[in-house]
Amino acid sequence: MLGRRTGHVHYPLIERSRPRVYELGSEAIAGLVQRPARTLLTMLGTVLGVGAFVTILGLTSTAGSQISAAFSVLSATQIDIDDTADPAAFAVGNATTYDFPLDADARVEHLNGTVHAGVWWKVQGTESGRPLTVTANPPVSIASETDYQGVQIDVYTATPEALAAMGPTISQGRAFDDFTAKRGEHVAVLSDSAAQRLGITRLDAQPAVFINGVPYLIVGIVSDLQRHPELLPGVIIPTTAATVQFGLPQSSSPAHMLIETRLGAAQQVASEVGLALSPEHPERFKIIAPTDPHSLKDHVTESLNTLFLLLAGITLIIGAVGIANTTLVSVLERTSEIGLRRSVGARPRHVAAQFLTESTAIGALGGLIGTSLGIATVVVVAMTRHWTAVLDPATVLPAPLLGAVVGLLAGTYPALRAARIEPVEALRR
Amino acid sequence: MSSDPPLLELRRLARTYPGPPPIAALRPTDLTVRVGEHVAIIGPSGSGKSTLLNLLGLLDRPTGGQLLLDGFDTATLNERDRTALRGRRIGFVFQAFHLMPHRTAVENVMLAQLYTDRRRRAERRADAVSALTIVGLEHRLGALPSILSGGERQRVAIARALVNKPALLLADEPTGNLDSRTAKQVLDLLEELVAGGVTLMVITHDPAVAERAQRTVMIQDGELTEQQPAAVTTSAMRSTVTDSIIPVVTRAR
Repeated sequence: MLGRRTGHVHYPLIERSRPRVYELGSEAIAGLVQRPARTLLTMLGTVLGVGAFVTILGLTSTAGSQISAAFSVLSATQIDIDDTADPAAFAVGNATTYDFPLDADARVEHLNGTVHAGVWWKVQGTESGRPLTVTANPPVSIASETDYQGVQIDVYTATPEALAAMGPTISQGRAFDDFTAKRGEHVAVLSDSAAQRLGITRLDAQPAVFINGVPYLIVGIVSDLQRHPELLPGVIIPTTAATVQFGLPQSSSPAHMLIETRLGAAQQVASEVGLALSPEHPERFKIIAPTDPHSLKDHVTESLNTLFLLLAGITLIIGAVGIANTTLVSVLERTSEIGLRRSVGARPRHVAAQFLTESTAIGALGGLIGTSLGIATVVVVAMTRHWTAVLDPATVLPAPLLGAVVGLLAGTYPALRAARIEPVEALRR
Repeated sequence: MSSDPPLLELRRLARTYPGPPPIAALRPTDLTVRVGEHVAIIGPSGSGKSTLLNLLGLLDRPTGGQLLLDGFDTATLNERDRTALRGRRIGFVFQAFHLMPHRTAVENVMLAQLYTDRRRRAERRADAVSALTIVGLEHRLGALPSILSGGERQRVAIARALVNKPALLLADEPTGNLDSRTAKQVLDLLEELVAGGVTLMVITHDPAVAERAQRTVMIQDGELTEQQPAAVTTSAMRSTVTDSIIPVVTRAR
């Protein structure tokens, strides 16, 4: 700040150039507003890049939340176990297969998190190929059984716990319980439609169904099953009675186990249930646990992210290059303006600040427009798919900032170039 | 006041471009310009006019000698102080006007205040308007350069050079882009300004422009020759404009 006089006298204090910050800012904005078309084209890359970012992240979170919504409480607490046929049993020509231990229900219910667990299967006739007959009245004669035109109704058997796990809605009577099951009593639960087809409307007369001629007392009529509603058109009898009359399940319709767990316990129970059922051969059970909602969501997010975020990143880089290019061209075009500014007292840093502000403003504006377009896209897509748009403020709010950073980085080199322009050169033009 | 140092003093001022080969664009030169003088520097192109202009305008550094402004050597100043001094003490008028095409006349004038004047916008605008009034453009405040005539554009540029009340007005071929009638009007304006106390140095190759000056300095191959000694006493010319300069340069106490 102090120079030297010809002799040794210090130069008087010179007040240095200090433009007001808002003046520099308005100079930069003026530079943008004066060339609106170019400014818009320049910010296009940033608009697309930031817009893509917001759209992808928005769609991912939206789709992710739809997926997790599909995980109803019902399916998240359900485990199905299929008894896979033992190849050794086939080899010896054994048609029946049943790998569940007799106390399967109890074993599984001891697992922490289990609410109900029980075995069920579809009953086949003892002689293969011959359908079961289900009638509301005793057959006229055993001999004419084959000629009898019974109603085609499927027969299922389930333990009381399995029935409970299915979540039945009982319209009349009750479900069969442990007591009746243990005693091997011939009781049955009928579905609404089966009862209708058999002409049974009331239980007060204690009606029965005859399965292959054997009577079963109808203790209840269910109107709905929350799990495995495919059993609905049929008759459900306890496994104890079914095993006595029809034997163990055949390999053509193997046994299943249905487990209802507490919410959140399904993964844990599923990991333990194989060993609990058969420590020697846990592999004989095919355990169908609900997909972990987190892992599924993460998987979807991940696969979308890696591909599209890469594209968005590339778009942003292209946007940055666009801004850098245009700003550089602008610097070269405005060389004489820069010279003029230097001649009226602008320091190189003032010139640099002006161009840096211009590029940052372009980036920020592009980011803002891109964010708006991205949000609009997410909302429109969600509407057409009847989804609920889910936008994470943590991704949406900083998005315009991303544009500003892109602009700032892109403007650095042109701004340095502008600062290095010599006023002598600039004013020669 | 007679003990005041001259406004501008060149002591063996020289500028050599490093080349190769090195070019002595300005050979060691002595020149003194007093406050209120009107000096023309005339020479053909390639004579070193631009080099001298850049040195006088603190746009370039000399390679030898001293350039004294207000009695102080500017060659030893750092870039920041030279820039500040340039913005506050020197007004430039260019051949090509160098107006911003998207800014109105008054906005173009106000550009000169941007870096050195921290007063409120309204106050600065008032100064810009009075500068435009001095050059006779008070009715064209909001006009864009594109609708102004050449003469009007140069007068806007002159107003811009005046608005910071500089000690020295440096005009580089101020009429080079103008027809002879408009050129005469601009020269008349510059002469009025000198009469009002402005110190003016005009750099030109046009003898018609040079003969308006009180002194003419010939430059040829980088060497100055005084054509005509100062005919007018400068102290008599001093008056309002320079006296009202905001004392941006104050003596260190």
